[in-house]
Amino acid sequence: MKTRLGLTMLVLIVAMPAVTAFAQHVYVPGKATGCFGSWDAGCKPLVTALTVSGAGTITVRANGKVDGTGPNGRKACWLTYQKPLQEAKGITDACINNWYALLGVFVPQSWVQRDGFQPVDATKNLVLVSVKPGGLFFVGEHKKFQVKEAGTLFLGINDEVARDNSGGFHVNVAFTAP
Amino acid sequence: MRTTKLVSLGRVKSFRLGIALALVTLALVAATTAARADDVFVPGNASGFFGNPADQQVPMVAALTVSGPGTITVTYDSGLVTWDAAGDTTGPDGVACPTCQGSQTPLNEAAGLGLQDIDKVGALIGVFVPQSRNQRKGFGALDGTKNAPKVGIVPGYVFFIGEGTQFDVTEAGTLYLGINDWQVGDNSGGFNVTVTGP
Repeated sequence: MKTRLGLTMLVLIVAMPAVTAFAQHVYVPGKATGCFGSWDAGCKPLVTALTVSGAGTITVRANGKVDGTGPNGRKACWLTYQKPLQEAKGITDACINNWYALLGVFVPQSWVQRDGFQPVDATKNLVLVSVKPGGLFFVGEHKKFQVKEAGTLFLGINDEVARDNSGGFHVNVAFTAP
Repeated sequence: MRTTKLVSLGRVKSFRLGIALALVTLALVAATTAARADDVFVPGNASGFFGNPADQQVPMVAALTVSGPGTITVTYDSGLVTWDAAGDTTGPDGVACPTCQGSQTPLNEAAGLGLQDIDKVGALIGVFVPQSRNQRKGFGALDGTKNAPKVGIVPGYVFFIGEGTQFDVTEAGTLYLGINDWQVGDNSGGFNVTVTGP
């Protein structure tokens, strides 16, 4: 009996370091648009949510309000403005369902570690190295997705006029290695 | 004797008809599999509104539309682009511009780089746009991140061509060609290129 218990403990001790899972909480302020979309001067960079050292699964859960709107965003119809998630697709359709929504982008480590990198829109010529809009995706209240390499998840707000935004989202981000 | 001759004549006619049909079939096959070649002129101001600060919304040039997978070849033939008010010119490989720092070329925008040393100014660039995007209502061959066309081009796909290039496409779509410059109001000239595809 003692031998079995000892063996079980030994297996557990050996197995524990192999389990790679961690979680953390981040706050994404309403002004953190990353200067995507038809931007204004009040924008702030995207928020660094989680850095991972290899492949695995990332889970994001968010709550809170930006200008009274939850992480899934709300419907809006504009003819003259381009929201970040529209810029990501290269479109300017009149109506969207995700104004103020929580958005994300996963940037490979090799890019994040380049000199001069900042998590802002690469198409605005703001900094030396930045984020290509094509990688942005909708996160909303909950999203689970896989990454294939080391890198950093950045989070932000799907709005282009950031200066008048208030509030923010409380986000729990978790990573599990395969 | 007469019957034998008639039978022979019939065989000869059948043989000739067979040959003719085979030739027609060969010609049809050749016509459908031969690569198309189009001569295209790319004006010196066709930047597609890419880069920063961009001054004019001049669309890129539709060079070749393909209906499916295949290999596309772009070859520079002739022409120069004058890319500034001072009259500086370049061929399709473009030139460095040490005094342009602070600007962003279309290729740098595509790469996600800003405030960098500026090179390849005035170079021949291209982007392959899938048919599904190209045929969307409101599509324009302009930078899709500048809130200009209803449906535009995502800059990450813009690539350098220079003197020429060959690449494979996996679907139907259109190759657009343009100039790697952000302020094109003072540009002139252009490049003559030959584009071949499936």
